[in-house]
Amino acid sequence: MTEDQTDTAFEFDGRWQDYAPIAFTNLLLTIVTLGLYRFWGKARSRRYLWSRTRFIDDRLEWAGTGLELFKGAVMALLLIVLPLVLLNMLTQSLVLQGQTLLGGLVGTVQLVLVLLLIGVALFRSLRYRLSRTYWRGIRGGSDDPGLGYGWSYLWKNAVGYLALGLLLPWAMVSLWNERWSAMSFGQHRFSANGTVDGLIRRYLLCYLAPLIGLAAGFVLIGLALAWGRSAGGGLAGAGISFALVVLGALCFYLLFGLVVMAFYAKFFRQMVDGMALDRLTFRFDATTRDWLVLLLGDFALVVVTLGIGVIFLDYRHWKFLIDHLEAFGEIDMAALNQSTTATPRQGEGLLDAFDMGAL
Amino acid sequence: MSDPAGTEPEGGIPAFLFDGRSAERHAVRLHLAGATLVLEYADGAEERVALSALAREAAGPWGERLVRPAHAGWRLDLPEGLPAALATQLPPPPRYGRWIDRIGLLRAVLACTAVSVGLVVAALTTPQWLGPLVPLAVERRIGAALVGDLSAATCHTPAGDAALARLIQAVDLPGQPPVEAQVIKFDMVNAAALPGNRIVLFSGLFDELRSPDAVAGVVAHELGHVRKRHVMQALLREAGLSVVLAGTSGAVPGQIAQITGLRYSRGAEDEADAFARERLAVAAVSPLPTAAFFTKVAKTEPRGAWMAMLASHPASAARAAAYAAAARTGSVYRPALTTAEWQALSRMCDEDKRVRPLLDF
Repeated sequence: MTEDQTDTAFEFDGRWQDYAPIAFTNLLLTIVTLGLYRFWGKARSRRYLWSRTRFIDDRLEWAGTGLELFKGAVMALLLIVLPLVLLNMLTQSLVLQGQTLLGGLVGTVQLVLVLLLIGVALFRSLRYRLSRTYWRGIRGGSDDPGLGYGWSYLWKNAVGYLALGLLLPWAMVSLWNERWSAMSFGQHRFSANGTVDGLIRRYLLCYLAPLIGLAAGFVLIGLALAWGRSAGGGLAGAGISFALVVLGALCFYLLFGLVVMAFYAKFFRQMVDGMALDRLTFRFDATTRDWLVLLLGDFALVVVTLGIGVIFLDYRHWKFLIDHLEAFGEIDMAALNQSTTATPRQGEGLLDAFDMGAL
Repeated sequence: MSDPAGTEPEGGIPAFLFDGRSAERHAVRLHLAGATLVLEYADGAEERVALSALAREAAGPWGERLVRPAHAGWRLDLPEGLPAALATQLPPPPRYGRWIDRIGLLRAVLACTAVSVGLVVAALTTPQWLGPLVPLAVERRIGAALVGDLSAATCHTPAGDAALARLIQAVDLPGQPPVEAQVIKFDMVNAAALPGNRIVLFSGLFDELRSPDAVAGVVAHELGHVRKRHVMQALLREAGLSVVLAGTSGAVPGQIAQITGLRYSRGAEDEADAFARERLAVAAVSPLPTAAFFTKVAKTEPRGAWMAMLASHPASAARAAAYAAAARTGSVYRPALTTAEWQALSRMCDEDKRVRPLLDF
């Protein structure tokens, strides 16, 4: 069996009307169980989303369970969150006792530990998701437990920030490549060779935006004051100046958000474009405009529904991902064999603990 | 070609098999032989699977689906549906979760609601009787772990320490375990009760109060928290709520915990105030300077009933009135401390040259 004959390799054919009963019952059960059901709810929601996602000629299958997500969360709570809380209490009590130096030291150790664990969490959640994702009866995964990635996450981000933030794009690209290169599907390793080329211009825009914005803000305030004076001062003049300042601040935040989005859109495209699995290559084609429409849609949905719309965000994000994802090349089905990677026993509790489960 | 009658179509039920070993798709035909499912491959080969090893999964655009829980990746899709003969021998596919499916969604929701409400009520009420049962030694250890001994910021002079001890003795309940009182060098008009029978007075208090009787009122109030075991109650409540609401880990329950915590605090504050007024009366210390202090505080407070609801302490104007009403005409009041004692206590932090202010980096 070879390449697909239809025009797109990835297709999402879910309907929000079919997803709504799942989302609403998940919400109800999550409320009445004081949040406990959300692990099972997440598994239900993913089973639906995966099963409505076609790749070439078969649908994805989510094989993860609520119980393993729950176990992961409990483990993360006991092994990670509790020690960190105790460490935090130790820092506070040391500072209160006047042991500022020792308190600062413990605080630094704590920060290093948190960064390291966030890295491990990001790695392990990807590994978990791949290990529970089946396609034609074959799953993905990784044999790497992710501790090495945790250290990389720590030092590459540290270098990125220490170089006045100028090396952050390099850190992001290199971490993406490192993470995906450790993953596999079936017997094949992913290769990830995303490059920094072409990202720097958009990153510099983000980098300089606050400075440009600040300068523009001063000019605007100056103009506002001048206007206020020429309008004869008084209440009306002050009102106009105030309105101009508020307008300026609003414009600044919107523009800053936009340049960050422009960077991220290109980053994501470039990373996916750099990925391959055996003879398959991938492409992601969402433009800055697509991301903007997605996020404005999210925002409108949540506001219009007074917050209830939050339960549809996973659906929207998954649909967005699949709609813009494309694959080329061919797969020899008979030669694609089952993954021999270890299957983690619990879910993404660590990532959950740091509240970073989003797309 | 669906099969409502439950009989097998000619040549078996058509299905697609993924065996979980390779990505190849096998077109097979299924035959039911008692409690065994026979898979017949295109080349005539046969595979037998016990029905007990099979489980149904939710139907979808792929038709019906059977899996083998013990064989990850093994999957049988039946695009033309599941014959009744097979369907009746397999449990229905899971939907919400194992036990919710068993008792039904509505009953599960009602049961969970009842348990959740019970848990929250227990977390709110248990500390009130459990708190006083916690041994003082345990509470002391918790206090030491949480705030340390604050010794570097504690002011000491022999005369000041003696005056503080006498003030405590005057307004405390007799025959109780000792209370450890500390004056902390910190410019803040406040006092607090800490876990393990501890009271701290911040040095800013003495610049503001200027009267031993008002300090006696404040000390008596904090003693009320200690003697009624409010501190342990508050600690237990916070811990209990955070455990019960751990599953939610969102912003909203945090706010709920805060609001209920504040309401609890209100009850405790009222109780501590009542204790203080009673102890002042027993010690023959006038409650009027304390009332005057609260009247002064009230002038700086935003007014309105809604502020009183949000505040952890009762509105100062109401507290001032309560302390003023506690004054009895005809009672003979005497100062809580002599002039010399008051001087020693209120200047203790200025005279102690060794002490370092709290949070002084």
